[in-house]
Amino acid sequence: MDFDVVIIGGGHAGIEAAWAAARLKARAALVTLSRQTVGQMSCNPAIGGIAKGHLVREIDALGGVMGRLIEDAGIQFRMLNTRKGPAVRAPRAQADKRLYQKACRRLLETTPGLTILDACAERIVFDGDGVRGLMVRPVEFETGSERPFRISTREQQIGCRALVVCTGTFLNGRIYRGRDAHAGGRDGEPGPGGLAKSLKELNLALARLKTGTPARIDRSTVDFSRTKVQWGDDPRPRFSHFGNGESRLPQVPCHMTATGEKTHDVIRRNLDRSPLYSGVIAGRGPRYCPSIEDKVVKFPDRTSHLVFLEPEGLDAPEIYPNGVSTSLPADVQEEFLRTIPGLERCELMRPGYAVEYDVVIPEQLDARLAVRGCRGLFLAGQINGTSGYEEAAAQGLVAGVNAVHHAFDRPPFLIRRSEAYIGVLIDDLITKIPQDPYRMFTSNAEFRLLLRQDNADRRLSAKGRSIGLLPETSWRILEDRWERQERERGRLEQSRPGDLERSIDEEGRRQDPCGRAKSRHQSLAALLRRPEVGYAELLRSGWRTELDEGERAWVEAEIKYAGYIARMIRLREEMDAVEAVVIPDRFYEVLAEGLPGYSFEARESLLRAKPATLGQASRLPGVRAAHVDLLSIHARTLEKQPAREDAVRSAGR
Amino acid sequence: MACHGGIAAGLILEALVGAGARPARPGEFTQRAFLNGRIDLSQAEAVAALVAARSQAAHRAALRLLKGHLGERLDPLLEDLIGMRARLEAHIEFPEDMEGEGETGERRVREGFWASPGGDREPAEPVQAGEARRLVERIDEILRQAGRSRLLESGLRCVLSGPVNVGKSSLFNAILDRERAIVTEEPGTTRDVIEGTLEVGGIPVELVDTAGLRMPESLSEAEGTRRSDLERRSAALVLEVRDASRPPGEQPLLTGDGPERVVVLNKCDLGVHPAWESGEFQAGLGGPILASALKRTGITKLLDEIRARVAEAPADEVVLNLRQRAVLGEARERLAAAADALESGELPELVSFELAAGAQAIGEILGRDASAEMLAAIFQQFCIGK
Repeated sequence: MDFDVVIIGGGHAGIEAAWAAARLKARAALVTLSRQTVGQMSCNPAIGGIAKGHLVREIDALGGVMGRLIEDAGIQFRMLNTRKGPAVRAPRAQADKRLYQKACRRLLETTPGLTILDACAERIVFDGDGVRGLMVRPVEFETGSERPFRISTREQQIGCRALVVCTGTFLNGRIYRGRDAHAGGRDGEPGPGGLAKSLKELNLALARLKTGTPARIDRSTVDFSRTKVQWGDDPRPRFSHFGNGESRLPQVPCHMTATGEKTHDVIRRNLDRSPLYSGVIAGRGPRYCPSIEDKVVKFPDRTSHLVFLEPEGLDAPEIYPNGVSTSLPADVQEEFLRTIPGLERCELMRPGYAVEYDVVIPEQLDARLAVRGCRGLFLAGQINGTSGYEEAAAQGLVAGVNAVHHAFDRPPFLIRRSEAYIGVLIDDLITKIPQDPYRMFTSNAEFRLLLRQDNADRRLSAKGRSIGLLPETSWRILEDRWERQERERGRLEQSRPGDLERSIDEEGRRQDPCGRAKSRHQSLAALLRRPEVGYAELLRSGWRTELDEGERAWVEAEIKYAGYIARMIRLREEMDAVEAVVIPDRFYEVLAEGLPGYSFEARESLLRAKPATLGQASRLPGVRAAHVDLLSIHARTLEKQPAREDAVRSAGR
Repeated sequence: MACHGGIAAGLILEALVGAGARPARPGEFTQRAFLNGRIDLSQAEAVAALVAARSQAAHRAALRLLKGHLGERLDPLLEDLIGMRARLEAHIEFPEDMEGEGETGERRVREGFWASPGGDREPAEPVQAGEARRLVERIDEILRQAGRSRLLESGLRCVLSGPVNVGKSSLFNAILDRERAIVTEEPGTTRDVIEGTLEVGGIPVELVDTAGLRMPESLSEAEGTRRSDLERRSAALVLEVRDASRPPGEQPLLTGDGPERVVVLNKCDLGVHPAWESGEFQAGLGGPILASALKRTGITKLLDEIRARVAEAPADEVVLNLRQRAVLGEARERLAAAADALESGELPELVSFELAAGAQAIGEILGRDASAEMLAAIFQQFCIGK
């Protein structure tokens, strides 16, 4: 069996990579232990949120699938941060986990050019300094059924020109609960076997990280009357730019409750039984998602922490209690959960656990997510030290496209940090030493006001189309939408408050009575620029528009941020100019031999990360402005040198 | 732009920076010329060497800065700024976590937080305009102090001041140990500002001779007097020179605020007028220094006094170079814009945009990554983790 691109792992990174590879007309294969568990949400049953929702919108704008999948399987949709401005609003959805997996499987199984192999990846077959194939052991099924029976002892080689490894936490994964510990990447599933050895052969530098998940609670044992109900938005905010966005599934609420002093007492009393606090776990956990024992220890003054009870599906019996991930023993988990209002009589279906795993320090990758020094090997997702389904999916898309481009000898597909969160994510990964599992935050993006969920299509769709990921039909939908949005903006600039059916004063302008007289001569666009006026106020005053809520968001953002956008575009031009300076590989040979002017720290950083551009170099630890200036000269010198050598040679002839 | 050197050039440069220009870094023009292809490749190595030297100088400067007073002043300022932004960003990045911030568990249970709409209270503004204004004031204070000591870059400025014909120029020469100023017995000989440099305790001292203070008898002398006054006010140290042989009443000492002063009684070879011995002069001025430029007496004691002042001068001084000043000025503008935005109820991400630009500028001076520290501050201050 020969393929152009093989993807290992059917998680959120693997799905995007496999889809992209097949869409780009590569012969692609997805190797997974079980096609039944592709797209598994091993932690919380939700997709999106601040910055993560931005990533999903970007994936969708490029032609990826996560946005469509969550719209198919979402059971509650909300737009977060509606009281703040358009750049920091983002959609979030609760998913029916089982339906999400089904949607993933259906998508992969119907994608032309994609083969799904139920098999265990054993080892990578190298060919000199590149990848030639993969040894797998197929999964054998029970006769006449889809139930996996065992992993075959028979090895089989599949050939490929590029390999994308998306194995999540399975690299040396170790699961902890109380004093129990066992090997594995996800509870109840076997580890990935010999693949870790193959990666070790490459001498990649690894780091150890940790993450955790809470217990799952039996829904029928929860007293929801003691909790606060939280419904989704109607109409639903959109993740995808395409399709009608109509919900096929019924929408359900989440519920809020909180821990109290009694909860914390139970946890404090049992800290010696926590692997986190008895020193068993050495890996670094996410700062933004601490376990409940961390919260209690690090914030002793807090007498309460919020807990969100999220359904794992429409009919699923499990409730995911968001906010109380833990690695305490199962009996303690039950004891502390029962001190929480609404959970007094709760029964656990599965206890929570912590998982410690190896990650590849991602500075060994380039901006394509290819391992430097090993042709055709790409890494995406949690193996690169990130956390989150969305972060994984974004990497999967970039790695998948680049794997195809590598196989077909096409130029790299790169996304700059000034054009997308995906670019920020990858640039941060390859230039920064990970402190904890990397999660996307909007404040990581210096161009946050430009990188909005409402303009992901304008930023990225042309790119997706140019590589053949985004279909022409989708492109036409966008062109039509952009035209309507521009028209709306023009109308707002030309209309005055007098053109409205009702005065806007009573509604939107109540905080600013003195501005009334002036406002009559202002355009509606100028009114919309004021912080206290939004589209809602215009609509209440009788403004008519052909745009839906998601489409209006772009118009509002462009008007509200107008001055800032102009400033940001200037800053972006400066950044892009630095980004455009390519550092030739030869520079690192020369630097290793010795060059004056670089501090020890800067030299070490540069030689380790070998940044491809001046911009990447400038963000490395220890590299200061003066080093960047020096580097710009050296880069330019080396770039010109071959030309000079040629000139010298031809003159001598 | 053609002008006289010295102060005028400095003032023009400052005006340009004030109007938005950025001072070139050392070697920058050469470097740009190279990058734009104006310089032949063969010259590139020379350019690289120049920039490398600068890089090392920058490194040394950064080390000095870390130990220096600017760091002591700016570090806490950046700390506060990062804290402010962390509060603001916590509400932007983690709206759901922050929703119940400040509520106690008992309160939630007692008042039925989750059963009533009371839990949906609008959270208090995480950042106040006043905080941003106070940061602006602190930067202004630093810029003001740095302004006073701007000349420290080229040395501590020490000005000889006093009425005409008390022997300032003779003293100037005696201190510099060479005949630099033109000395005559005619009162009002010195009409321009004359400078000389000497090294005291390893620090350069700019000694400045000025025209004597009296009712001017000519236009040029009037201009000289005006400049003397200007120098007096911008000096780090003023040597108030008086004629020891004449009574203090004829040559009063200026009172009020101003730079540090040392009274020097010159011409003590002619005798010291008994009125100088009175307690009034002894107590208030730490004792005048008796000197004679003619006989070269008291000069060592005077140098010791200058040395003592030099040693303590940097203790409360902030030294900023022109580039740091420009960057700090930029930070100030951004923070002022943040305060304005907060006052007009602007969206939090716009306020944060200004705060971030301010923090980045200060971080650039200090070599700190303000945005990474901001995230760390969020996780330290708030319990995030839905």
